[in-house]
Amino acid sequence: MAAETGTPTTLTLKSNDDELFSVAESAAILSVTIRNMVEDGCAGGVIPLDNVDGKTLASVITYMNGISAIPADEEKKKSYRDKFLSDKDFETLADMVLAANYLNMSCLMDAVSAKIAQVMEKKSVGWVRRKFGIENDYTPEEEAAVKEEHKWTFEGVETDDDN
Amino acid sequence: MADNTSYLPPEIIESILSRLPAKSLLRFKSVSKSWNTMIADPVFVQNHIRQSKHSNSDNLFLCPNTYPIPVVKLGDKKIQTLQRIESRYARWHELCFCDGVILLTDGTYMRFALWNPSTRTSKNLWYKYSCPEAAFGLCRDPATDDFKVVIADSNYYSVYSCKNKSWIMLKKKYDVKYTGLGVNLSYNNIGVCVDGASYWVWGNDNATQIELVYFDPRDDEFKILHMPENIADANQKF
Repeated sequence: MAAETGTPTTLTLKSNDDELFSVAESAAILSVTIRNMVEDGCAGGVIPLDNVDGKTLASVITYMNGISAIPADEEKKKSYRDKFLSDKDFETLADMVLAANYLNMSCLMDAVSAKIAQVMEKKSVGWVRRKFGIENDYTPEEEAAVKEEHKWTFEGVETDDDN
Repeated sequence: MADNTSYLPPEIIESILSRLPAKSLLRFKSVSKSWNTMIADPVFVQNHIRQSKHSNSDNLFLCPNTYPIPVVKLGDKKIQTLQRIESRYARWHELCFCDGVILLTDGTYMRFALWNPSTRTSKNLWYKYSCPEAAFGLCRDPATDDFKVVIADSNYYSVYSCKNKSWIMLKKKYDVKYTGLGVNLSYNNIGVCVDGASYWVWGNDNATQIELVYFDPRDDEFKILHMPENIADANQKF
């Protein structure tokens, strides 16, 4: 039992593609999912994270280390989050929001949701369907009617950048 | 892994969409039927209003009685006009503002409109007679999320509920002269919406005594908010 042999200060996390990562417990417990495992005493060995791949987990761990190194200063944490997410593309952000949800990290979840919203704000309906993998289930007549009802919202839409 | 992200569960999609401006949301109703349903859902709409209030720290204001209506941003030491909004209510007077919705009249004080510039939707209302000297308020019942228009004149006040789509008329409990301050009626009888309730300043004929009176949308009652005693200068203009 971890508690009896002295609480380890480093945890080992395993992604669903079998990559192993070492991370300080103090940073890893930003994830409520991991914190619960630690508190239940099942963090002695390797913690398997079945819903996160290695690439995304590496990124999440960078975030955990970065944000936990900042003392309690909401302004500084916010600017770290903005900078951390600034160069991420849509696919990476989508993977991160899923990981943040699975790991139960509300601060990352909020920040990534806001970033995705910012990225898609001026995008076309077609862009959103492709990026979110959504099938258009309207008939052409129904779609034309919904578009007509909110015609003004199609002004100022950016040209698609994913072709 | 994410060429196709249809695996994003609905709660994550909602969390993302709740942070978009109204214009984008209305456009994305065309994405699919399930997105349309989600965006039109009243619970989502309320979450969206809450989220916008929480995150919008831009200090944006609408300047009334100018056309097209300017949206102004108060920044550090400068005031900047971001855009001007055109509407079908070009020569109407703005009366009250609450949660992004504006109450206007065409000047007859019989014909009114509720207008939401963010969604560009509006609704016309008729009052039973012309009431240029009445007091006007617009508020939102936090319990039922119902928008209410209040028109108070001499002995009675009327409340329009957007949910019930009807007016009710009630007798005033207090002998309150909502129009008691100053000479410019069109300014002094306009309620200010704070946290869902409508507030007015009123006073006696010489304005030597002033009170704050408010309409509570939860029980459709007028109530008096007593002034702290140390506010000495009753002649101060509000």
